[in-house]
Amino acid sequence: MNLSGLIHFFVFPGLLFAIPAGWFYVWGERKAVARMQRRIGPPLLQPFYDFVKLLGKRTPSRHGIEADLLRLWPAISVLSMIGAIAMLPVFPGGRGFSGDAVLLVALLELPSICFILAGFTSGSIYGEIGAIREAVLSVANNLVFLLSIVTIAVTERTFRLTDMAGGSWNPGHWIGVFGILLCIPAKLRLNPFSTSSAEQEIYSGPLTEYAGAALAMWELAHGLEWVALTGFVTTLVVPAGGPWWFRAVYFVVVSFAQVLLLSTIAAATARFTLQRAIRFYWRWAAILAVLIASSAVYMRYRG
Amino acid sequence: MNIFRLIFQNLCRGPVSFRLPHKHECTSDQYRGLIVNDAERCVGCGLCAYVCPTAAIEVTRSGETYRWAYDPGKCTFCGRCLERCKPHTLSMESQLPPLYSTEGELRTVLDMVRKRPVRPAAAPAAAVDKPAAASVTEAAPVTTPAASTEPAV
Repeated sequence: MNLSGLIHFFVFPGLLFAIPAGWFYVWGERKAVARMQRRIGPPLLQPFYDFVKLLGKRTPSRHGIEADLLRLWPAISVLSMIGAIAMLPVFPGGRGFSGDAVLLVALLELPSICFILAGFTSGSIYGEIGAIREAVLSVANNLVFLLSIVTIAVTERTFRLTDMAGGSWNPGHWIGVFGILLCIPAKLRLNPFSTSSAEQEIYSGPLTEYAGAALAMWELAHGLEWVALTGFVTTLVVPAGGPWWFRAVYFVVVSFAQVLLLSTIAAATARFTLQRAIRFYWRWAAILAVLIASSAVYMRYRG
Repeated sequence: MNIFRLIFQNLCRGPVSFRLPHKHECTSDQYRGLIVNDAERCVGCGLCAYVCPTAAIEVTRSGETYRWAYDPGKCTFCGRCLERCKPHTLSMESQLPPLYSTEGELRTVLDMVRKRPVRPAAAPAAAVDKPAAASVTEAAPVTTPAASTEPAV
């Protein structure tokens, strides 16, 4: 890994930027939803306070492989998200490799898989219900998510992130971005797709048995998911060229605009039942995604 | 799309909640706030501690003195102590209790000398029997209005 790669992983958009940015986006979402509900909302540093508070909590002791696994899943989620964020082509250049979009998709999917595994590892009935819901929802939204990425890849004729990035004027590119945006609420477990982590029904599902430092890591992973997913969309719509500082500011501003948009959707909608969420993705979004992807493939090989 | 209009209106109107710590006037004088004990009139009978369902009030006696202790952190503000207090020395503040962060921060401890209970309606004969009231507390009539001793609803 060269110096540029190290800076991407450790400084921007990686570790040093991503963690405070994750807290900032989580705060933005909570604050925006609160204001839309006429509440004052949390102060700016509340996610940081929550994280520190959870780190200092004494937790009930668990023993054996179960305890290790329950600590392992959030750690994998955090690492995979930092890796995904470091891969984002925020700055122009020849970084990355052919097909790195596939690796990014895999890394983006790891927190969801860990969330499911955490639910089954916890041994809690609420955790298992949440894990099943997350698994079903993941299958539902990933069809649309993958087809959207395929659409962009076929339109741009590459699976390399640096080449896929940039605001191309091809309609297929923008329809693909729209498809990814449709999937983000489900991936972030936001309303109306928050059925797997429903606080009032199943006590946050797989996180029911979590407390202390492990729960803090889950909160951190969730913040990083915000950065990774909104950042991914931002890199797809960022205009090519421009100085590095403009691209950095653009990355933050457009990502935060998505946070506000997703918060508005979350505040405006109620939680879907699992069947309704699946129907949304498989009946409407998937049909649209298949049509768009197939037409993109057709146009690619025709022209 | 009514929900988006509602959200927009909410954003324009501003929040109705407030950030703690926040002081605002209590609107009702029947509010059940902290328990206050009038040390001058308390006779140390211990009935308040006996009926307290959460042991927020403790009365410990040693000889002629006694200690009355009240921990608002345990209190449920049910008002049972006020109902049972015969000399009506207990009352509840109509203000919101202050915010506190340390356990036992608002704890009140009163060390007092035991007094003999005062009979509310003493017969003239009894008054003749006891012409020299030893303390001010015994001599003072209980004039607390009944309304103030009733727990607020």
